[in-house]
Amino acid sequence: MKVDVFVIGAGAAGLTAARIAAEKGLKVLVAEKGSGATIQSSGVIDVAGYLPSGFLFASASEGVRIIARENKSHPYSIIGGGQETEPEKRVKESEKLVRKALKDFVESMNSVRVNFMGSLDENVLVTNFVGTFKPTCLCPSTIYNGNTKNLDNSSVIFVGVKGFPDYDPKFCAQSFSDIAPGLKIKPKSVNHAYLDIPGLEGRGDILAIEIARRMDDPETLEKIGQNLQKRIESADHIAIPTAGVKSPEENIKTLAEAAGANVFELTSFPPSVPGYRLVKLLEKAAQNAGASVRRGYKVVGANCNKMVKSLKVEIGRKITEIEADVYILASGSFLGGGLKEEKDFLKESMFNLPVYSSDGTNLEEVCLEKLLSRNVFPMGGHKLFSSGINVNEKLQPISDKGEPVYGNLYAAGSVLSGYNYIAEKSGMGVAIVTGYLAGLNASG
Amino acid sequence: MPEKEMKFIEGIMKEEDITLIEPEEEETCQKVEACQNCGLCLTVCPILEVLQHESYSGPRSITSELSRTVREFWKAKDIVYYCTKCGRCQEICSKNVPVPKVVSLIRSKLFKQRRELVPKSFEAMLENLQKYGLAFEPMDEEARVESAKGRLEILGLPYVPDKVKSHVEVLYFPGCQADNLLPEIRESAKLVLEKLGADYTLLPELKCCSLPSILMGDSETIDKLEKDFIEKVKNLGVKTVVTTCAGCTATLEEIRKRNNADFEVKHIIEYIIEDIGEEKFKKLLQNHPEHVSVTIHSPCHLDRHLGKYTTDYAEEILEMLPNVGFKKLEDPERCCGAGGLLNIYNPQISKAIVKKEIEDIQKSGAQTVVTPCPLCLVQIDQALFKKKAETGALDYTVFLAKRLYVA
Repeated sequence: MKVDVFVIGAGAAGLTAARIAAEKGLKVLVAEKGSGATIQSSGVIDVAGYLPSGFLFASASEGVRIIARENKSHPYSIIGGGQETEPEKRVKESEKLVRKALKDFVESMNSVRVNFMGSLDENVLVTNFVGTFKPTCLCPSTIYNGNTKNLDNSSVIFVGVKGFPDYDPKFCAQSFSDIAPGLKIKPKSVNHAYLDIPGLEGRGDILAIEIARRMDDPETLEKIGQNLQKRIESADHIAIPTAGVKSPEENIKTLAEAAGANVFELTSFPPSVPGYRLVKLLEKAAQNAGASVRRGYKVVGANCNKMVKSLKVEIGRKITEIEADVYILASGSFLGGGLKEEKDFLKESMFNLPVYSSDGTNLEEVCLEKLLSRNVFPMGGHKLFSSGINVNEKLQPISDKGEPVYGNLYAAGSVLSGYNYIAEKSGMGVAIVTGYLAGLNASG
Repeated sequence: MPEKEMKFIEGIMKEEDITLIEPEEEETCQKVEACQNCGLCLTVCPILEVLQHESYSGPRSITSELSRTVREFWKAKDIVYYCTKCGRCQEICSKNVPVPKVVSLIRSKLFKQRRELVPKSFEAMLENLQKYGLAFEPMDEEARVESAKGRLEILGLPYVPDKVKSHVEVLYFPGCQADNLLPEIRESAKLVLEKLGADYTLLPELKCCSLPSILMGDSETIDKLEKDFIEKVKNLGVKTVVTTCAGCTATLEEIRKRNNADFEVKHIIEYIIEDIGEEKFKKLLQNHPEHVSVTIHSPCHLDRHLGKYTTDYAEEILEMLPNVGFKKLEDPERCCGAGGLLNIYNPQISKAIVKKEIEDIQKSGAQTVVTPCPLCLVQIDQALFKKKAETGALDYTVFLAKRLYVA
């Protein structure tokens, strides 16, 4: 088999790159071995939330500018021209590219009929299952409606489901009340309630996705709406754990009309329904552009000299060689399987590319344990989580000498070194922006 | 351990219906521990798609049954037969938890220790398998040939007599359905193999591939059929076993692997692409006067149990055929709902599942849907008929024969 562009990995980076290349008219194959990290993500687009020191950025664009100026090995710096480029130019180029890539992302989501709200010029705080918040800049309208600014000077009710262990509305309401003064918002009242979901009564160990599936059923949704109306006397805002898999926007609208209040979804930790929805949408947009996304294709080896000539792909019981002109490595880090531990050392899984920590150290001889701090939450995060492969400004993986390892290989997403998406809240932003650039570069 | 204590433990185990996990089952059980309870499997399970309002909580609850106490464990009977073995849950799982294997494991435990919990609707087929080694009661040979000839006539295809010989390259293994209910598949396969110039034989006496016995959990019959198959193939000395049934292909491949046997198992689609090759196959094709637009229903036992390359092959072959237009389904991975014996255990749910596939097939606008699996074919064909749909359904091999033999 032969294609123009072979993308390894079907997360946010891989699917974005695939869509861009397919939009240029290229024949694109995306190999997806199973489910990776994007499907486990919160489903909102964090571009830049914090500095490693804990400083909260007022906006994503501010974050990108500061990071691109101060942190030379960060992907946001590299896409702006890298270390060789003057800081001012680097900052300008980087911000320009981030804006372009995210504008393109929002448009692609519109094309599959989902609204992402927010802006790069303002970080909003969205509330999660434990009543705390995280900074983000673009999210589905169903979540955006519940950003903390909207909740100021109003009455909020956190609604839970009995038997759903991930989310305790009482705890959530309490911690939200505790945190609110720090956010400089004054809700009039914060309460909690429980809701019966038809079909899940009396059950324990309920999953978010089960609630979501019930929301998608029109009859069940109507009953949930009636239950909401009965249980809640008056409130300005109602927070629910999830709004559905297939039609969250419509479901929220239905519930809001029934309850006579603004209804919004909370963000959650994995497994998260919005994360699942995001992957499906990215996949659909890539497929609509003409890319072929194949699940059950596992890359097990590469045939390379100065270029990547072909990849060995395990498809069920068969191993096939697939050739392409250009390859994009978007294999993720630990959850996705792009990085792996081998005899106490950190390795890149597909091409055995050199792996570096964020300070530029080649990790060939550094034991993995050294990349972890004794402190559970160290300042700036564990080094392990910002380790990965180094790339040049074209996103080609590079060796110690700074030379591209293979002329026709590009990389995007969390396989890259230089950023700690857990501490920075920048994972989706880096994935989408580097995916976008890799897709453009792969198209020549 | 002292004898007295051992006896005491054994006594309790007997009383409580506890059996130890066999060494070969250990791997499957260990993989279950990896389940993160994320629920992604719930989004792809065909049963859940139609069972929105029931309290059945899907594939993840099947895996979690294994970790429960013994008394709870037997409750698995309520859910473990709600499975078509489509394998989509394992495919989407980031930990690759082998749910279909777990289902087989639990079903075999139920069969061995709590025979009374095995669905009564399985009895007829179970009896056939134990008595004849076949899923259906065997037909009289003369009647079988007559019925086959009748079907061929309707299809406008010639009849060629069976060949049974040893030391040939290929053994054609039709499986129970093509041998009994759908003889046109068996006959078409012979015609296709003739056209391909294959040196082939049939078995002197066909036995089931053992898939239905696996689905019921009848380990004794499984062992018997497995030994029989391996011995027969070794005696015939063939290099490749070619089948026309997705379920047979996947099951015989498992048997081959377990026995480390020195032959290959291939669906006829794989045989055409890998052994005949595009170039040679194209030379055999002649123009066909009738244009037809076709879509493919990919059987779970090929697409997921063997691998997605089978679906690619099936499309590649169709695209080579003159005057055939290929249309893709929106969701080409949908399960027909018949597998896992669900069509026998709960026909209502099974039929509700196929309804979704029928909608997809009709939306594709194809005149004919072809599928390389007799079980899927019957399921889809019946549903199309019931809906009075204009779309026709044909077995993949029968369709190939029709395009290769121009009247």
